[in-house]
Amino acid sequence: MDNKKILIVEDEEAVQKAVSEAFVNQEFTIFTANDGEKGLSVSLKEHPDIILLDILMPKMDGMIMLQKLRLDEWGKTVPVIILTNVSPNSSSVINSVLQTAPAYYFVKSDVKLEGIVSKVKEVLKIED
Amino acid sequence: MLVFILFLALLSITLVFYLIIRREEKEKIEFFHVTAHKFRSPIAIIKWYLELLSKESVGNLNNKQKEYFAEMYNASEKLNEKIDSIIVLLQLQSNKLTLKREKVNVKDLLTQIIQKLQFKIERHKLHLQETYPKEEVIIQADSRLLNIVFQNILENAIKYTPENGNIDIKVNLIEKKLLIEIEDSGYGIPKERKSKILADSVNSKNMGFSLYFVKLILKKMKAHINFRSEENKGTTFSISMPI
Repeated sequence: MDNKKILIVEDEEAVQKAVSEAFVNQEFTIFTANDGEKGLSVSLKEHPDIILLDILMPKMDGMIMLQKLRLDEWGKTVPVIILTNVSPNSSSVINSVLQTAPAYYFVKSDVKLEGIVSKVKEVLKIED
Repeated sequence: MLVFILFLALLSITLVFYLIIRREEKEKIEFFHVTAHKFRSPIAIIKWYLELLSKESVGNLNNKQKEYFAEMYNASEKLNEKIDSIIVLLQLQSNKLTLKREKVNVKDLLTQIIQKLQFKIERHKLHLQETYPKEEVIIQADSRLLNIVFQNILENAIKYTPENGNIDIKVNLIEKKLLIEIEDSGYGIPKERKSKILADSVNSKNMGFSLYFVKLILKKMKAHINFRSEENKGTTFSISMPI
């Protein structure tokens, strides 16, 4: 079976590296992008099976990227997990989330790497 | 006429000053809010790399190293909780907090908090007792905020109860209200501090801040908190909230 493709869109290198490391030896192919603009172009080119997306990034933030992605025929349904520093209890975030329907929303500092891996597997229906 | 014009002028100046101060206050809160969020990234990075190291993904560890990494991980969790509290507090103060309404199993939530505080309970050699009604207690509330409330009160009870003391948690449903009592056999609150303990501002160190915070959250949730306390006998905090 082909490896599942994960795209990590994150501007902080240390975060990108730690999350990538969590998927080592797990039969995934990892793509990375460090802003929303690149994230969008890599998404549309590579069609990853799932996207891990930060919100606050330079050039284009994660929510704008996700809105643009949802306009694409393929991008409409690709599962996206938000991985951010922003609390999900402000009205602007709640409105954006309602519009773009991400599969899950994690606050980075509240989740373990193993929690991210198991959520990705759950969304992609991969058994351990 | 002149008096009226003077009065109007004074009123306008006062209003302008008030608006400037309010704007500055708002900007200050916004600045702290953004800064507090920015703390989350380095905390996540510390936690995640400690997790990778603890899993021996880059080399084997001896027992001492494992123990030290676990202590560092716990400390970064604690730091994360504090940052989280500051963010919630700033959101409450600027009226930007939207309450989530989700199903919360009260027993499960309390069990999770107790598990998290277990090492402190053991370190203080405290006896903890929990009493729940026969039927499951499930309420509609914001679990993250409830978690902050119960954890703060329990942490206070642990901190202010001497070794071999007791902490009793009682959960009840009475007339469509959830009643939770957390009783400790601790030092109690001195008479002179009783009136300040649930005041509307931060007016005493340690316990004062966490209770001020707890009270603000409960107010937002339309819940109430009260306490009774006797020096060297203990304190009971009672919370009642709509379900």
